[in-house]
Amino acid sequence: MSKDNIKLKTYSRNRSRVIFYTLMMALPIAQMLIFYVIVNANMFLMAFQKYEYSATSTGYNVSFVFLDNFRTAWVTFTNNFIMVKRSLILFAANMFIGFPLALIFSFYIYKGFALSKFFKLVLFMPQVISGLIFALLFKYLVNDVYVQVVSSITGAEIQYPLSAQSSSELGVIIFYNVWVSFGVKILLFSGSMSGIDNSLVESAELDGVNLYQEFRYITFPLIYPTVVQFIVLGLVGIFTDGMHILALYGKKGERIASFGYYLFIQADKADYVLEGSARHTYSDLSALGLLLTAMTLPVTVIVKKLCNKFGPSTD
Amino acid sequence: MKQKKLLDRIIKFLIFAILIIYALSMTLLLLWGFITSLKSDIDFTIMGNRILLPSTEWSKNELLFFNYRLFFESVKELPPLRTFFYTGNRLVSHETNVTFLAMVINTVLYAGGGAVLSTMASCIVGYLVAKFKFRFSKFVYGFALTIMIIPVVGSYPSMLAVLRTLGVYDTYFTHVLQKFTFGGMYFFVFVAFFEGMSDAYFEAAEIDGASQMKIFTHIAIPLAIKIISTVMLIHFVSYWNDYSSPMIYTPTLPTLATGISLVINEYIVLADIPSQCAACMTLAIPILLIFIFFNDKLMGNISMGGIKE
Repeated sequence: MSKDNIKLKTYSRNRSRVIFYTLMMALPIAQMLIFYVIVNANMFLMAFQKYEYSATSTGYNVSFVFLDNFRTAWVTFTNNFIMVKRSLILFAANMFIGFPLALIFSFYIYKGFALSKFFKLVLFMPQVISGLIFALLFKYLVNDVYVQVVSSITGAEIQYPLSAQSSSELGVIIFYNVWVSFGVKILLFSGSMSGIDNSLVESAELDGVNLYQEFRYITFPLIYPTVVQFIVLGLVGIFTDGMHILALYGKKGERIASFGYYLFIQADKADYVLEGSARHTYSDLSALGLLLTAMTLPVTVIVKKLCNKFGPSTD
Repeated sequence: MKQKKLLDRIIKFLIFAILIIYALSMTLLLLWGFITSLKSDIDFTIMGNRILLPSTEWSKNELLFFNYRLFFESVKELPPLRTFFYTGNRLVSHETNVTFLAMVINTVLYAGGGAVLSTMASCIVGYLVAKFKFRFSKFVYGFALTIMIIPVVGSYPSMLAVLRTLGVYDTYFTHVLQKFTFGGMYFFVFVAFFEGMSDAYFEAAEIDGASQMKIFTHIAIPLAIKIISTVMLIHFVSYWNDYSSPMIYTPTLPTLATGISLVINEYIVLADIPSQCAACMTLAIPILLIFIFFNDKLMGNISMGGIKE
């Protein structure tokens, strides 16, 4: 084959690859452009705008209001600091109770101890069955069955429903949050653990390490990248998580709202202009969202850097 | 050595005990929900039978699955679902009288269609990034990684505004457009999978004169069919259970999950707990069956973060 023929074939092959690549990438990239880039750019734009009904025609008049929406957002943030507190409590409960338990359970499953396959199925069940179902059944159990059983055993009078008492409702939500949180974590942690070289574990066993030492000095350091990703994802979700409260209380859970729940419910009621039972417009919710993003982003970046810098060594 | 064995036994036993309590709590919850769904309201509320099996005395005149029929009929009592909004200068209004059949159709379209679209988007882009080492592939990979860790809070209003501007808010196109996305962890799963696939298959096909589309559809997809079906199943289950997205983006096209939230939490059409449990079981049982038969696929070893070398 002559050099020219080879060049022509290579050019033709590369051209067909580029054409195929461009055509196949077009739609997914267009989707990402609209539903991530444009939506977030629009959120930024709306945070500086105000909408009013047009006096002369249908639709809206839009005006630029500089930082007015951010002032409203700041007032909302400071007036609802209890929601910030709840969001942080829920995050802390997941991070310091749910997370370590997920690691321990994953280790148990990875080692293949008694009934580990069955436990893996059960731990994954909340991912499979709707959160709404679990929440409703959990609520009935806690409010009706638990109260009846404990009262009849102890004779004590318990204030119920537990999920509606100011003294117990946050505890109910925290318990529920942790209880249904294991699913994907178990899957990914035990998946990462199963990739650990067996010869490392065997030589450690020959050296006489116990289970705790094996987890502390071999397993945990080797799956640390997965652990860091979950810590970061948890931080990312601090002000967006709230679906468990939606499942437990529907749209009537404002007295126990986290910021994620509050933003969802208000977005559902809101419009370009203030009307009906809405307390916010799209514009001031966008400003509030940007404010919360500005608070969370540096924390996420710093925590990721710290985790990578001070993480365990594999040496 | 003896001390080590004793410590190991204690650790194993403690973890086993916690897991057994957890497993019991899960399975008893679902069992309790099912048993309660078979009780009459008199049996549960007035006679106070919260825990035991349905009493035949108070249920004898009623069919065993009476509460399920009550749930199906309760949907008819929902008021019409309405939305009014401006798209530019045009006022748009949607109104639906919800039926049980409509909710089932919406659920199948949302869960099934969404699963196909999400999986194919991740698979296509994952294949392109893995097998076409262009600079744009690196950019796409980095972009997908970045959007996973950037905490964008409160984008609901903006999303709603964009959907209304596009004229697709509260229509089936909302979900079609939103679900055809490669954002999320399964994109990385596909990238890792296709990167691990030998290039020899593709080079051989190219030498034989196959087009790039033929290589993708006749070689890459068949080789990836197991992982495609696993990811599709996971997406299907996730969308079947999703009630918040249909609630906010397609309020007049409720799925079963959204419908249950409407009859129990919003409009309180079903007020007694046994019938509410029947509604819950209607949503849970199909997915439980899928889980029982396909749990190996649903819980296949998917690794995201990797291991330190």
